[in-house]
Amino acid sequence: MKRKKFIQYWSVPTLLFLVACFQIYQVEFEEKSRWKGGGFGMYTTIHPFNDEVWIDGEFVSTKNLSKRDSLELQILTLKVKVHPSKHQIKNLVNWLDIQKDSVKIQIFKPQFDLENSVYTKTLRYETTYKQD
Amino acid sequence: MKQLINRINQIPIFKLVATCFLLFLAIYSPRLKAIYVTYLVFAALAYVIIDRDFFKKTYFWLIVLGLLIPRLYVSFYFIGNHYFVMIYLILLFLVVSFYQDNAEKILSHNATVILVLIMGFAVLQKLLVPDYLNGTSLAYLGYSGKIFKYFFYFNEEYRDIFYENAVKMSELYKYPISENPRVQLEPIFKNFPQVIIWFSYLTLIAEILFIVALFIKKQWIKHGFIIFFLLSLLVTREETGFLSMLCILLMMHVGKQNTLYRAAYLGIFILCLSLIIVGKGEL
Repeated sequence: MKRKKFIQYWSVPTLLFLVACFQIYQVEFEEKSRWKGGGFGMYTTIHPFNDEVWIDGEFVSTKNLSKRDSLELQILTLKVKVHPSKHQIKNLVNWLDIQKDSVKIQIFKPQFDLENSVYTKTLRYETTYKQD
Repeated sequence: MKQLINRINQIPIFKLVATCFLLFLAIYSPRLKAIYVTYLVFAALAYVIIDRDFFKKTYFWLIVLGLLIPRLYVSFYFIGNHYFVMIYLILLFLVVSFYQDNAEKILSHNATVILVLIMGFAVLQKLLVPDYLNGTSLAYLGYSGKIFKYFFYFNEEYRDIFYENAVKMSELYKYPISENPRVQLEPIFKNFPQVIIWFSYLTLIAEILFIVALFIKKQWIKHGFIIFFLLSLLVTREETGFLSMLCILLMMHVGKQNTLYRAAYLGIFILCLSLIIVGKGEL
């Protein structure tokens, strides 16, 4: 009887609660974006797609690439911006075919000095990725 | 008007929300960039014509769930929160299809808890982020004209300022952090930065009041506030996708004795669908 009541009244809200808690955990400890992952953190920060990914001091740009390559790189960088996990960074570095033992990955996010209407950027995440 | 409300009242709530959800899915699915979903949802809608009790069939909801799960897996990094709400709604319909005797009560209870959790987490996340409380998050949207669109977009001068600000912001990537890049933006009026901060706090307070309103006994105060909240969201942010989901949940939340408000939420839902069809709003 108790199980039946739980399924009827609490199963879906419990799933929502667990997914949202997991998302908040990932945001707090793994730098995941608040916008994605079912934690209802939209509009809390500027959308992560506006962030910038820099590798070894160079902006990862899709300029001068073919349409297909540009799209592939765009998807990989967006994934890194949403959740800069080791797996996503590895995919990006492998795609760029960087022949170095270690690379510095930096993600910058937009920042506002609202009082003076000044738009700038600040470091959101930094790591050194060591290739296997 | 009374006749219309009576007709809405005669439709079983499970059938009403299931039909609304499928309509939303059919209209939304072309934007999923997974064209198979569009074909299959229209096939599902054709099935609805053959079997009017489609919403009672468990396998029907299993198929609909099966349509959305692949995108959840493939595009996990890109899908918005409303997609999660869509999955929760299908799961809820699945549960109700098992226990149809209690449909109204189960839907109402689940909808209330889900609404509290959605708003609760939205408030919690805002409180956890200093960038929200200092106005940074909404400033980006404010200076580029992505919120308050309907208030300011009629003025050509404002539109030009928004455009110039957006162009300036999009060029920041060219400069490394070592050069301490700064872009001077133009506010559309003198106290615009203060308005942004007030609006940030106002949104936070409104979301807390939304949770409180769900438990207010005086129906006109409760639904009056919620309807005002939904319309404000529509006007300031054009969140038509998320708003459609909220309307479906609110239709479930409303008790049988308050059909006027159920009709009001259905009206807002139809308004959102119309805006999605003409390509307006965020999804």
